[in-house]
Amino acid sequence: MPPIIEIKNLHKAFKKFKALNGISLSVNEGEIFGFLGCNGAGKSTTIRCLLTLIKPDSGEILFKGKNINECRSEFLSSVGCIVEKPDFYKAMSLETNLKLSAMLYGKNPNQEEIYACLDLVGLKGKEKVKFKACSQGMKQRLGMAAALIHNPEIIILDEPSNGLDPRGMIELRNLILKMKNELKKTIIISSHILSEVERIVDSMIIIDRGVNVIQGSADELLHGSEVMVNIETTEPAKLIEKIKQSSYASDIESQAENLVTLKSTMKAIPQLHKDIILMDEPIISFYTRKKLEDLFLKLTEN
Amino acid sequence: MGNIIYVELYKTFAKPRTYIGLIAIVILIALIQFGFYANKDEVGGSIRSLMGEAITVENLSLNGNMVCYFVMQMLYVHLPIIVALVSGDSISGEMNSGTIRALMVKPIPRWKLFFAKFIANQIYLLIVVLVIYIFGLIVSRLLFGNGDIAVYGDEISILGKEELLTRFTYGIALSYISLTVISNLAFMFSSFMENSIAPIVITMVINIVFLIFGSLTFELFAPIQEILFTKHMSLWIYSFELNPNYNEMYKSLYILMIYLFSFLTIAFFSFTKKDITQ
Repeated sequence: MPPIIEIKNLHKAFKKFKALNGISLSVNEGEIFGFLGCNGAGKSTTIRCLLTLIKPDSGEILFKGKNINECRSEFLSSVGCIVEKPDFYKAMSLETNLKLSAMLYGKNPNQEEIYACLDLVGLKGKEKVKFKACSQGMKQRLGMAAALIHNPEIIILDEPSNGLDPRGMIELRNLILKMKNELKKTIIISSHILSEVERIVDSMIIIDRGVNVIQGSADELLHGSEVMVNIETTEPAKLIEKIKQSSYASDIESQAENLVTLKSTMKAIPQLHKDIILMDEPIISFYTRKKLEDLFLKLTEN
Repeated sequence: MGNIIYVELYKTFAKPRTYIGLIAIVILIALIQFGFYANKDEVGGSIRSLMGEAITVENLSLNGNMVCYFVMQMLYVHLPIIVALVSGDSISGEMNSGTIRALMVKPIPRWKLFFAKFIANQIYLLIVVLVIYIFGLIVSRLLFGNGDIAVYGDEISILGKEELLTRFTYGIALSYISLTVISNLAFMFSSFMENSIAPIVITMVINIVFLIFGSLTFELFAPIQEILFTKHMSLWIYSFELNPNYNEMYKSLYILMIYLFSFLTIAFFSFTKKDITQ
């Protein structure tokens, strides 16, 4: 099956600043696609090019194999999105904002449909609340509702967890998974909050200074890579000596008074864990460091 | 297109600033009417001192037409501010609040969004002139009755009450054209800028500068003064002349139309080619 979205060699400069310098990516139908990069890497510019908010200098964007310039209306009808942050009309209620948004997609939903959509994103009972009185979490949810109201195939979320508290982030993550698993949407999510992305994406791309750094499935990129392991112990010297005999660990170091770090692979972690228990040293904690964060730092360190 | 215009109108009339202008017009008209009503016994002297040489009331009694003519003279200088309040915010307000992003990702061609906004501005403008027509003319006639008026132009013209409804209607229609120039000027600046106050302020500054420059009596400036839109804003006056100079009237109309379409064209290209980077 061809990718639902394909971007080929996209370039965009703002005066002398090259924001995109040959970005290419492809998104398959039904997946959650993570779009990662530091601030200024070109994530938002790419998404804006995709949504026709910005005209690229060169390159091609294809929707189901067709150039989006030739099927802009068809493409945008198939997309629901939050770009940067969900902005709506402050003096209007959530219900009115959602209705107006749907009308611009050529829909005329009745009150029942609007209430159902608000219910889906957890805004039941808040229909008459003015947008200006909403918390950041509620605004984000309304953004989701507006992205879903016309039942699109693709949801594009640009930094959706901006400004959300931990509870809001968990709720957002669950909502995204619900959109994928229950509503069968294709979701593109751009973020620099790596711990959030790694939990939900099927495939991803990391970009840096307007160019691709790496693209692949989450399994390939995360589980095939090296991981850092941190072990807290009251006897670091003794533990280091014993671990050095293990074939599952390398680069073993004592980082702080009670902390031992080492490198291993995701595949070897269960056996390494078993070996360390058998070493019979006092272990306070054993944990692998955030995998995507390490990969991200490694790939973007220059 | 109907949905888009509906949404634009809904947004326009959901903003408090839309009503500020309309309320200001109604209050001003009511104050003028009250002033005339309170002084109706000595209105001759009052009108002479208020109007200068615009109207003479010798042998004429106070009536609704006279009050409306006075209202129109007072308001046409100040209406541009009220008009710019809405059209100056039309695009830049969306840029400022970030809603432009949500608007531009809808499956609607940009030219349609542009004309929906333009039409919403025109409908607001139409409401402004209708408010003047209803409160300035109809209500004044109900309060003060119908009657003749005398108008100073190149000569003194006495206009009979039976023809005044038509003349006021033409006058309002011509003032609508003049105000569209201001509306489009503010709309054009609105398409360039990302905050909603600057287009309104710049439109007013240009209006004031042109008005002052147009009143300078230096020969050197005369050719430039002739082509300033502010020089032709009082187009509506022609509808109250007994023998209007049609050449001059068409010339004014022609100049205003050039401004009107130029501002609209620039705004169109600015809006449709714009990269949304906010």
